[in-house]
Amino acid sequence: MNQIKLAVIGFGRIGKIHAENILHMQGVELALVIDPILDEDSHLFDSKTIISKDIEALTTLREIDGVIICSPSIYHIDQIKTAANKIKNIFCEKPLALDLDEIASIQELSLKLNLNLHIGFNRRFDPDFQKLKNDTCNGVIGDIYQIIITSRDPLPPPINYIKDSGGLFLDMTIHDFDMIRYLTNAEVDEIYVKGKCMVDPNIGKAGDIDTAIINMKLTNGVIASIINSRKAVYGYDQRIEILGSKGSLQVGNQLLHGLNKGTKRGFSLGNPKHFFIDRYADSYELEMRNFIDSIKGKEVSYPSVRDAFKTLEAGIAANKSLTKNKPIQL
Amino acid sequence: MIESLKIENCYTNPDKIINDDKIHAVIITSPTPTHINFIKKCAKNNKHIFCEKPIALTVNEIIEVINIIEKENVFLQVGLNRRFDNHFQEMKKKLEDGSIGDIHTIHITNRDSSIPKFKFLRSSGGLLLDMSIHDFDMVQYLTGLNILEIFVNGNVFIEPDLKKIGDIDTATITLELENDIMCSIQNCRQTHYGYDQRIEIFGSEGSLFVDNNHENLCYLFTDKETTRARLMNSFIERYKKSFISELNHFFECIHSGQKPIVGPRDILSAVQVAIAGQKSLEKNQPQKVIR
Repeated sequence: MNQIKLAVIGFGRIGKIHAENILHMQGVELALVIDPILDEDSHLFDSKTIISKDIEALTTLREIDGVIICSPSIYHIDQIKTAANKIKNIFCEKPLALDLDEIASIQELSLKLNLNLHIGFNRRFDPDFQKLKNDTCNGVIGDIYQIIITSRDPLPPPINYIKDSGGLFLDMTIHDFDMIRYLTNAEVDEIYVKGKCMVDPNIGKAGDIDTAIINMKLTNGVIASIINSRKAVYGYDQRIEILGSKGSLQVGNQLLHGLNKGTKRGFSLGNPKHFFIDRYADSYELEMRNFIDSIKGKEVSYPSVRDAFKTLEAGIAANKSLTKNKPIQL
Repeated sequence: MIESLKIENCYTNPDKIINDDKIHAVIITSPTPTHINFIKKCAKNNKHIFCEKPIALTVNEIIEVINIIEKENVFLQVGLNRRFDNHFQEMKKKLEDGSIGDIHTIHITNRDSSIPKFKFLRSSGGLLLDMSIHDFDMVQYLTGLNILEIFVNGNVFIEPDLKKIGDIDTATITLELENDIMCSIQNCRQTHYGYDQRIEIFGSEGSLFVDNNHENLCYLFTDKETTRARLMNSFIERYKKSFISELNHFFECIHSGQKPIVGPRDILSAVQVAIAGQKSLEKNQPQKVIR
C-alpha cells in the first residue's frame, strides 16, 4: 500500500501528541493539519504537511486516508459528518459528544456509510492495562468479584474549561467508566455516587464537583468502584485493582524516577508521573498505530461509537445519582 | 496450653473468677452470646473488664452494658485491637500533625484470606457486623468524626448458602462522614493471597497509606518473573503486636485509673453504622445512621 495520508483537525494539546506520533511513524504522512488559530509557519511539520484554517480543506485539498479529530468536543459531531462524506477512516477524541441523541445519530451514520470510527479511549492501549486485560481474560484470577479504579489528576483544569467540560463524570470519569466496561466485559447496571467540592470552591460555583466515590453493580454481578479527585498534590494517581476468585491483579503508578533514597530520617521515592502526557505516552502511540493498522485493512479491536454511548450513559446516570443521592438503574 | 502457661487457678465455672476478691480485672473472650451476662456479673463484683468485640449483637444490649458500666465504679475496654496497631497509630499521628492537610476521602481494604465455615458465618452476625465493623470503627477513630450515612453494595460470590440467610461475602461500601468526608470500604471473605489490610487517607496536601505485610521479606528473581511470599495469613499474624498493645493499655488503665481509649460507646457507634448498613443492603438505598 502507498504512503497513508492523515489529517489532524484541532492542534491543541492532544492534537500535537497525535501529530508528533504520526511524524515518527513509517509508512504514514501527516498530510494536513486544520486549526482555525494555528500559526501557519509552524516548524513542527515536514515539507509535505499542508496547513489550513478551514475544515473544507479536508475534502478539497488532497486525498486523505484518515482523519484524526482533536478539536473541542462541541465540534466533534459536525466535523465527523463533514469528514464522513469523503473519508471512511475517522479517529475522534473523547468525549465524542455530551448528548446521547447526537451519539446515536453518529452511530446511524457510521452504520450507513460503513465508517471505521475509533474513539480516543487511549487508556485501553496502555501496556500495563493491556497485560491486566489479558491476564483477566485468560482466567489468571478466575471470576471477577471487585474492580477498583483510582483516578486522580494532579491539578484541576481552568474554571473556564470546567464550565464547558460537562462536569467531572463526563470529562474525567468517562475514561474510568470505559476501563471498567473494557476490563470486565460488562456494562454498568446500577450506579451510586457520592461527590463533593473539596478542592476549590470555584469549581463548586461553576456547578461542578471535584471529588467523588462511585459504587457500581455491573451486568455480570461484579462490584465496581471508582475514586476520583481533580487534585492529588503528589502527581497523576492512576491505579487499577481487580479481585477475583483465584487472586488479584494490580496496576500501580508509574514513578518519575527509580531512585530510592535512604537517610537517617527514612526513605524517599519518586512521585507518580506528573500527568497523562507522561503517564499514557505509550498508549497514545499504540492507539494511533491501531488506527493506522485498521486503515491498512487489518482486523483490529478498538473503542467504538457504542463505547462512547455506553460511557456517556453511565456518566449521565452518575449525575442523576449525585442529585438524588440514590442508586440509579441504567 | 494451661500447663505450659503455668496458670495456678483454672476453673470450668466462671463464677469462681467473678467472685474471687483477689482478682482486679477480667478479660472476656468467650462466645459473643455469653458476653453480656459475664460483663454484668464482673461489673457488680467491682472488676474492670476487657471484652472482645462485639460485646453484643443488638443496640439495646450494648446500651444496657453502657448503663451497667457507668453505674458501677469500673471500666470496660472493648477489643477493637486495630486501633492499637503501630502502623495505624503512626497514620493517626501524621494525620493529626497536619501532614496531608484536610481529609477528603478515606479508602479501606479489609479482606480475609479464606472464608470460614458456613456454621461460623451463620452465627457471626453477618459480614457487616463481623468484618466491616472494624472498618467503621477505624474510620471514626482515625478522623474523630461520626459516620452519617452508609450505602452497601454487596454480593455472594463464594458461599452460595449465604443467600439463604440474607448475608453476603463481598461488599463495597460508601460512607459519608461529618465534614463532608467520603469513604469507600472493600470487603471480601476470601482472597487466597492472604489477609489484605490497607488504609489510604487522601487529603488536600498529600496522602497517607498503610500497606500490607507479607509472610516474609524474601524476593525471588528469575528469568521469567520476580516473586515474593503471599500476605500474612490472618489477623493473628498481622495484628499480633496490637493484641499485646491493647492489653498493655488495659493494664495501664487499671493502674492509673484512667479510662481506656476504646469503650462500649465506640462499639455501639460502629454497630449502629452496621445496622444502617444492613438496612441499606436490604433496601438498596443509602441510609442515615440512627444514633
